[in-house]
Amino acid sequence: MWWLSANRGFGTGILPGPDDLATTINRLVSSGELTGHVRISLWRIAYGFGIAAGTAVPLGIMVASLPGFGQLLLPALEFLRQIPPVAWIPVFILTLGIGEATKLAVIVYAAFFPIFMNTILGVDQIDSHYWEVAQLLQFSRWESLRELILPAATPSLITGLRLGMSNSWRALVAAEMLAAFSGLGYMIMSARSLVRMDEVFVGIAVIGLLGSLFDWGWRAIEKRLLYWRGT
Amino acid sequence: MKNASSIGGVREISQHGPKADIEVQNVSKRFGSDADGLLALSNINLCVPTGAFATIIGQSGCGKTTLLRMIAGLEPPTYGVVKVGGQVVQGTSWERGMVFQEPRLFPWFTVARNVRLGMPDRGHNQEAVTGLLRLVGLEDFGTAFPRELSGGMAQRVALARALAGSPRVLLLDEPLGALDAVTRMRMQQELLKIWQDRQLTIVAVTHDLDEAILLSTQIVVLSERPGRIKKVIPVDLPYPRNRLTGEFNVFRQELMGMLL
Repeated sequence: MWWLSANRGFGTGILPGPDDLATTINRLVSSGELTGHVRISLWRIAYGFGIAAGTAVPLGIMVASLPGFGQLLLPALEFLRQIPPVAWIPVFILTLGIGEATKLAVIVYAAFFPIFMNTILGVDQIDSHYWEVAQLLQFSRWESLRELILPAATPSLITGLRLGMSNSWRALVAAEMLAAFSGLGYMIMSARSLVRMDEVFVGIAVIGLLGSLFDWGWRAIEKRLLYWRGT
Repeated sequence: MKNASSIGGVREISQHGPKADIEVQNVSKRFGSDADGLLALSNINLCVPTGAFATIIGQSGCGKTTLLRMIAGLEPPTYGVVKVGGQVVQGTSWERGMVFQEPRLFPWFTVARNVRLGMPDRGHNQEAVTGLLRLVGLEDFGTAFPRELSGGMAQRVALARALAGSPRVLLLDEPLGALDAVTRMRMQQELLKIWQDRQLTIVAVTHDLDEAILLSTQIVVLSERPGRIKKVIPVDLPYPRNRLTGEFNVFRQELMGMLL
């Protein structure tokens, strides 16, 4: 059907068919163009996501364990959460330039909130029954974190990390389309300006594929870490 | 098996050991602020001597659990003081272990790790962990996860965890409430044995009159809300006690008369 609509239907000449895509993928891979863009996008996501997770999880745990502090922060967070990361790009470009810093800022911003919010949620939802046990067993702060908070919040933490990653992956592609000279987003934009629809579609497919791969990875990690729940 | 005089013996030995008398002095507990709050307990005065096995009975909502939680240090009294071994209770302590109505095991850790966390040194002595698991008859379940246990088994792990801190006072909040009759009777016997072997002072909340008579040296009867002490009944029957004797029935009738 895809082949038919591409070759005989309304999109003839504009939309590539499956056979076109196969040759395009072949060409882009063998020239190293595709793998180069993929590598750069992956590197950006790893870097930015790492920064976001490394700050959002500890901050979330801190905010959740200081009830007053969370209430103070919540309205501001709610406001920031509603802004799509891409909307910040002009601001980031002005302040950080058009280099890597801007893309990183977008990724960090996109990943931060889902992780942060879900961390707070996960810690908040710990049954007070367990806190009483922790009191009776004279847990230190460190023990509370290691034996109670982290394991109890793991399901929520992983949800946050998974959402954060898919959020930042989408934001990254947008950022690369607007302010980059490399990466999958840039590849799509430059193909568009050359009216290479086949390359655009290869870009789109790879973005979707990698995004699904991340999701699958998080689900595998979740299953691994939550073995104690049984099936 | 022990008899009445050896229970007296337990008290005698304990007098030379560390004191674990529980004194509840003029204690009231109000939930919520000022006069609108719910008065759960009113002017409780109670003394549980070292080595005693006290049970608290009363209708649901009369503050039994609250009283126990105040002895544990999980909740402060609104008025009055709770003392254990002459010291005012302020927060929890290793000297007081507690088993709740629910096992409250950490589901993400194995049985052995749960018991290890009950020890002040977090179980560097592996043999001690095994010993505790053997004590509650679960030495083969160290690597199991809590979800794999039956209710009775999980409650036995909770008991092992509470004993792991070597408490002098053991507080039990209807720990056998959710168990079937046979498991329950078996655990009552285990509990008596542990109490005697370890010379513990036990305070247990129960709603089961027979259980109270079967186990305790004194029964504390609370009134309806706000909970006040209606009566403290000493039970001087020899152990092991038999539910089918006339003396047992005398206590049963006295309690039923007070509660109905």
